[in-house]
Formats: sequence, C-alpha cells, structure tokens
Amino acid sequence: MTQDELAQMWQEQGSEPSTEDDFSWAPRTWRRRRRKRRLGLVGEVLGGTGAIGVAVWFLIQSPTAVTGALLAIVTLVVLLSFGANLRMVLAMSRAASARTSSYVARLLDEAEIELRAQQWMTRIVWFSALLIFPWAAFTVWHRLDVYLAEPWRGALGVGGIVVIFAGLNWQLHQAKEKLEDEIERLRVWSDGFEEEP
Amino acid sequence: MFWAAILTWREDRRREAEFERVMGEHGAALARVSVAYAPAGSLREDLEQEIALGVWEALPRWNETASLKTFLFRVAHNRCIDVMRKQRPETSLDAARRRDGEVAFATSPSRRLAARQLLTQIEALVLELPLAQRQAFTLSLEGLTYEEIAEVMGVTSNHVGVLVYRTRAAVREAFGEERS
Repeated sequence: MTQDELAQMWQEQGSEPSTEDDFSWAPRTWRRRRRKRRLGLVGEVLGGTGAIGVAVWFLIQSPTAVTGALLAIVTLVVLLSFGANLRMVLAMSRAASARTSSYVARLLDEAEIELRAQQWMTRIVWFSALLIFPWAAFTVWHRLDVYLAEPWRGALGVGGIVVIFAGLNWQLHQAKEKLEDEIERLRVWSDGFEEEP
Repeated sequence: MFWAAILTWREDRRREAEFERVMGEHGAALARVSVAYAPAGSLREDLEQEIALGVWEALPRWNETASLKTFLFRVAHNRCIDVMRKQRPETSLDAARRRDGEVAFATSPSRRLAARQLLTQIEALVLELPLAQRQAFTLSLEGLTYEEIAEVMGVTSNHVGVLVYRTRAAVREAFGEERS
C-alpha cells in the first residue's frame, strides 16, 4: 500500500462532514467547566481560610509559641499553594497553542517544580508533626485530671491529629508517586523531539 | 449593566459562529488527532471532546497572520498530551481488544471491513510509537507538508522527515511480518 492510499484511508475515517450539531455542545460545556473551575477556586479559598481559622482557634485556646508557629506555617503553606496553583493555571492556559515540543518541555518544567513543592510540603508536614505531637502529649499531661474525667476529649483530640497527619502523609505520598510517573513519561516524550546528531 | 450583558451575548454569538465554522471545516481532522493517543473507546471519545473544548478556548487567541490549520493541530495535540500525561500505560483490556482486531482482520472476507481492520492495526501500531513519531506520522497522513508539521511540533523539517521515514519503515516491517 502506498503512502497516498494509506493517507486516503486514514482521512476517510470520521470524514463525514461535521454538522453544527456535532460540536455545538462545546461552548456550553466550556461555560459549565468555567463555572466549576470558579467553584473550585472558591473551595480552595474557603479551605485555606478554614485551615488558617483552625490554627487561629488553636492559638486562642492555647496561646503558646508552638501554636503561634503552627499558625505561621499553615498561613505560609496556604498562601504558597494558592499562588503556585494560580501561576500554573495561567501559565498553562497561555501555552495551550504552543508548539508541541515546547508544550511538553513546559509541562515537564511545571511537573518538576510541583514535585519539588511536594517534597517541601512533606518536610513541612513532618516538621509540624514534630511540633504538634510533643505539644499534644504535654497538653494531655498538663491537664491530666480533665482528660481522666472525660477520656473521650483526649481520644478525640489526639486521634484527630493522628488521622489528619496520617491522611496528609498518605495523600502526599500518592501525589508524589503519580508525579514521578508523569515526569518519567514527559521526559521520554521530550527526548523524542531532540534531533539526533 | 444591561448594555454590558448585550455586548457579552453578542460577543458569545460571534465566537460561537466562528467556532462552528472552524469545526465544520477542520472538526473531522482534529477528532482524528485522538487516534494517535488512545485506542477506540471511551478514552478516545473523551479526547475528542477535550480537543473541541481546547479549540473553543484557544480560538480567540489565534493570530490571523499564522496558519489556522497548524494552530488548531497544535491546540489539539497539546490538549491530548495534557490528558495523556496523567494516564497510566494502557490496560490489558486495550491490548486484548487490539488482538481481537488482528484476528478478525486475518479471517474477514469483506474488503471494506478488512480496510477498517487494517486501520485498526495501524492505529495500534501508532500507539506503540514514541510521541514525536506518532505526531509526525499522523500529521503527514492528514496531508500536512513537512514544513507545516515542523511548525506544529517545533522541530526542523529535516527531523520531521526522519521521524516519518522511521514510522513508515516500522509500518512496512509490521505488515511485512504479518503477511509472512
């Protein structure tokens, strides 16, 4: 089979003329997605504000250096994560019509930045755990009579902190594995565009 | 406020009309871009939808001094790359589907069906290729010149030639083996 025959056969698949109805859903779907994206943005802002609110509540309940540091860390992480997400969305939206080799290189850069951010996030989570767990143990010991009288308070407080940290750690681990896979794939793709000498 | 709403509505109508015109002219070729990224099935349908959405989003940014065709192919390929970078490698179900296609090709008496199944085999082969080769080959099947393909991919036209040549050799080798 010649190249022309192959090309003709290729172009015949799905070659029936596209009517207006075929793609008329796209503008509506795009608008729906844009609304969803805005809702996601609102969710992210509310989540960040909520996390800062919880840290403020901790600080009000127990105004110590540890809870002060926790508030600073949470605020920093929320602001950094929000800024990084916004920057990436804007950058990738501008690159949508870039040449494919540049687009792959751009995606690779972004994924590597995201992986480094993940690594920092994991360090911050462990550092926070190193602050929080001794503080929680000290608080329980300090108010032992209260916790002995109502043990559910201690179980809820310490258990809650354990669940939150275990969940964060698991989520970060999963995200890291997915990102490493993605980077591997993007590297192979990117190498394919390189001209051999 | 009222006039702003009217203007937005008019702008949306103008944009929709432009989108429909572009998709009417290039929609089928753009939908075929998905063939280079996923076997037939729900993932390919998702990619076709993503491509249409990508075109809708990007069209206002098209600079009329550039070729619309290469602009659209760039958007379509980038959109597919964006989806596929998050996908795990193909499942064994996809592999089984391809094997079924190959068996049917060997036994089918109908020429039209055989042509369809030959295409299925070529699609399967294309999916095994490195990304740059896949892009260069499928764009050449769409009738783009090496210069246009180079403009879509951001490589030299010499490199496009090398990529297309390698793919054709792979196709010939695969079908040569099949016949023997």
